Amino acid sequence: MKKISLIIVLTLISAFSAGAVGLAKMCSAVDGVTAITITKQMMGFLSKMQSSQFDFASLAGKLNQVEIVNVTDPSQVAGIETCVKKYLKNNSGYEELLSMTDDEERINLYLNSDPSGLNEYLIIINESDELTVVLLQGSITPDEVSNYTNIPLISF
Amino acid sequence: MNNDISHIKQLLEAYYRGETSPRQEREISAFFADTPDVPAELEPDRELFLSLDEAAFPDDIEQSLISMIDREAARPRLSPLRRWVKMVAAVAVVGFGIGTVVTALHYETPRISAPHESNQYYSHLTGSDLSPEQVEKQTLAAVQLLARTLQMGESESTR
Repeated sequence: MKKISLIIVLTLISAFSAGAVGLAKMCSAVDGVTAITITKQMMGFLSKMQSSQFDFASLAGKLNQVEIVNVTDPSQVAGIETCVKKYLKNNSGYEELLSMTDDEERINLYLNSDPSGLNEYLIIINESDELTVVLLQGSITPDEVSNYTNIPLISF
Repeated sequence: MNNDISHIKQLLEAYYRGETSPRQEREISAFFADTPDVPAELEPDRELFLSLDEAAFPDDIEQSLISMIDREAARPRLSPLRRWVKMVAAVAVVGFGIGTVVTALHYETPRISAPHESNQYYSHLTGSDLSPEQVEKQTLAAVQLLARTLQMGESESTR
């Protein structure tokens, strides 16, 4: 009985560990990738700063993590695709909300809703020679997300 | 140092009269980038030049954006919304040097720093530094990408 309990505990720890690895960290091993993780702690810092354009604090309060992965080397696109598939396999519960295919590109949107109210959105924009993956995790709901369609974005 | 300050003041006077060459303007930028502690009277000038530097695109990134715009222009059948989604996707990664750096942000031991040093401590990247403003822009780009993608899904489903 002890042995069975130990196996169950080890299995749970293993499953938890696999799921805990972030997408950007997983995919950063692929050559030529740009992998970005913006942590909850960083959101906290940013929310305390004065933004001239936008009430960032209210948005940051609803986000736990943002991850962005991009590769522009066509020979590495397949590697990132494999990495994303592995991430989806390790993190069960993702539902596909959107899948659009053109002759040269594909856009997929997935949502993983936790009973506790935590949502994880995964957007994959796949062209033949470039792949961009954006992951957002937080308490923000799809309805709330729609409020941010027209936020002032970039003033380069 | 005093000579440098005096020289920079002369260049700044020429700059505000519109009489500096590109080489002299780069000299001013380099001075402020390398000199965090400047006399208080030069602090507004320093902030101006640092913000101008931040707004500039490195050549390779500018070229990537131009290439992307050219590609999109050659594909007129993309809907405006879909084109927009792709533009935002590009913005979400453009500040990080496309395809050149593997980056991760870690904030395990945050430090409170003097205002002029804040950019050094708020962000750390392997091979590059980001200001908090840049990180905020990437976050907003990611959120807006999600919002627009959801909107795109809604418009497709009602067709």
